[in-house]
Amino acid sequence: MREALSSNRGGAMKILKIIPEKCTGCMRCELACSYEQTGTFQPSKAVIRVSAFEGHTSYAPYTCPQCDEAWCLTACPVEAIGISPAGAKDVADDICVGCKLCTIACPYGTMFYDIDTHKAFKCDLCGGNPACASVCPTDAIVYEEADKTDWVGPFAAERAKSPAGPLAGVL
Amino acid sequence: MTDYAYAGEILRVDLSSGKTWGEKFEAADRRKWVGGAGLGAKILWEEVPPDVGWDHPENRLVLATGPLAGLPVWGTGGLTVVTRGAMTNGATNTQANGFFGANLKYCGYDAIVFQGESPDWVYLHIRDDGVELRDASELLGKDTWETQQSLEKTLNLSGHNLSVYSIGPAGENLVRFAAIQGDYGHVASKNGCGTVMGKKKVKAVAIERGTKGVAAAHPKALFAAADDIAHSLQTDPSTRGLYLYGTLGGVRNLQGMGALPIRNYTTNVWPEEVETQKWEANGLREGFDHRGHQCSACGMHHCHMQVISSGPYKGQVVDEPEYEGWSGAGWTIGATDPQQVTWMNTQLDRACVDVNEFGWLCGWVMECQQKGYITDQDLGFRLEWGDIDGANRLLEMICKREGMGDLLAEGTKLAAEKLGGEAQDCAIYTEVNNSPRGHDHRSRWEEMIDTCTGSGGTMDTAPPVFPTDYGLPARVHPQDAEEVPKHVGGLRGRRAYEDSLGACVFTTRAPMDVLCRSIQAATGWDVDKDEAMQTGRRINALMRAFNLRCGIGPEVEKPSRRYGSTPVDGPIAGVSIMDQWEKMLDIWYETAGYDRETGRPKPELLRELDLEDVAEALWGANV
Repeated sequence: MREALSSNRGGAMKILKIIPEKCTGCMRCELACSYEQTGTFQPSKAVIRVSAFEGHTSYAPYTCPQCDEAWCLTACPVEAIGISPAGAKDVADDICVGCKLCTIACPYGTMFYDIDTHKAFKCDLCGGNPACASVCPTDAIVYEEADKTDWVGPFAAERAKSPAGPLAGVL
Repeated sequence: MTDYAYAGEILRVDLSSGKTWGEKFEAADRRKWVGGAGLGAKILWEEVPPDVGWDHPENRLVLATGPLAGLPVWGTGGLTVVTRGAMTNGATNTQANGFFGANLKYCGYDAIVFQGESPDWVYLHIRDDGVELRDASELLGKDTWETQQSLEKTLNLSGHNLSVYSIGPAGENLVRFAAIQGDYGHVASKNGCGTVMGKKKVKAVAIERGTKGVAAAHPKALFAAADDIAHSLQTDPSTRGLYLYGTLGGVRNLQGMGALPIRNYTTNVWPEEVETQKWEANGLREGFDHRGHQCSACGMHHCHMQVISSGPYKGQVVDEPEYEGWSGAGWTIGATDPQQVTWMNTQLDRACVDVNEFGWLCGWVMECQQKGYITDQDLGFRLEWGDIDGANRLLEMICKREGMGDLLAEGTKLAAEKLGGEAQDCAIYTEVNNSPRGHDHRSRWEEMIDTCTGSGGTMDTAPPVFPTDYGLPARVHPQDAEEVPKHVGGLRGRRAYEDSLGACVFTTRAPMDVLCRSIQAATGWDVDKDEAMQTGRRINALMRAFNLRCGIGPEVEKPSRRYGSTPVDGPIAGVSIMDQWEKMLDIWYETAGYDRETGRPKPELLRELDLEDVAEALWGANV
């Protein structure tokens, strides 16, 4: 299974790039994402989540960056996680046994466990047409080609040094 | 199947016994009453008899959302508060946005109905089916922002994972125009709804972002309809300014037509020293470091947080004022420095009173001081036009009911009536005690007649939105005594319907056909613009019937002397609304289908609106 899913790997891929400065915390991405996951609007089942930081003045969505290391894939004892044609690390529901090892292995906290289906679930880039990016009213989430998938680390390091926006010089 | 767009349950909370339970929101009632204002009106009519006044334990406090809340249509976290309110002692219909409606529906409820009165201060905590009244003694005395921060800490939640709607010190001390504020900057402000919450000893409602889902009948069509509404908001000339700047553009626009209330209606001319560019929409926004702080699923560039960039309050994080804030915390009281006004506006949200009513009250005290009707000794200090620190001191006195603050806490009308004479003559209020919005309505006749005849603590119809949808002219002259009441009466219903959807009236400002498409997709109903209007008129008629049953009739449908006075300068100097008042009422009554003498909705209208029981209650069985 992993072999088959991995066949498209290699070369530049499109990822979800997030621009926190543009996010206003409206959570519309969570709604669209949960609709893709469940067919209803249920943010608790979304695999993109919006966090508040710097008090209640700033927000940023975060989701699986489809990192190269793919700890989830390495940790899975039953090889349920592979790479989809869109380049996303993806969970095969019929193989997943719900052991949650991947949720522990993931350093980003973007591997989730569904208490109803007893399976792990995560961002699969909606098969190459991510709903979160298409519904974001402020273009804070864009789907574009990138050489490096991990934008979170540098962003967090930079932001910790000096808060941007309204709280620059306040916090 | 029938649960599309609804959680399907109403949460009942009996504060006297501490019992909470869920009650089905019957499918048959949903299409007739929708949610929000409609659901609230139904509950008021059925459960609050005339002898249950605003401060009676059996009064109901309904915090309701509606079918669009929690769905991806812009601005759909809506809260509508319906209760018998402290200002009019009649029906209340007042809104706030934020995330209330979204989070509540994800917990599985369409509304919360408080009844009874708690022996001790409590807050209501909701996390899915876990509903609990908890001790609020630690929260007492805290303002609304401190209350939310404190509950975030207690519950270990941040951002929109927790919605908190609370009262401030004003509501705790039963200031008659106390409001309910939530999610840092969203205020349901009218008719003393916060006073009712205070009387029931409920400090706050804390709603976690529940884990349940809300289904739509046609989700793909819902996204498409949401996009169409968004496109209309972004491109229509009547809404594009709101899309870009929220209500900031109001200051300059209304000033140009003589509708910006300056110094308690004593003038309509800007002081020469005012830098006009600062008060343009972009000027107000560029004057601050700011950041979007949107409501659920909203793409408007409307609600913002900002940091005060100069002056004594430099560095403080505040909520960007709405037009109403620039007016009530600014122009009305003679304050013309945006940095100070934005600070005062958030002080009002935090202490939690209606910014409009505070403006009329504070402006009145300032004028009375200037003219010697209220002495420095009476007040305890000197309060000059534009004195923001003094205005804040007045706010504190009112919230603590200290000294003259005890009288002022009763609101402009009651305080002015108590003082009487020349002091009363310069007070801005309506006889029914609906607080006027922050305009000089002497040049916006549609809002004056609407505010005086409104049955929900404020206007019922509000500014005309796409009037051509209903065969009315796109614009009428704001001082046309014939066309204005036809417009107000002819569009009556649209706003009440919007107020029932769990959405924001700034994001429902699309052509009614487009808006209806989103409701069709959400609910599966084949609702069209005519049904929407009928439903809204039903809600308006029921609130009016409720007020009539409470003894509030047409005899109080008029402005105070100052509110209805003739402007002495500016664009409409010398134009008098009162010369036309009776004629305007005649036309408004005729257009609305209400009886001019008794104020009642006519029996044939009530039957047409499927309100047989109301017709019988108002007119007797044989009419």
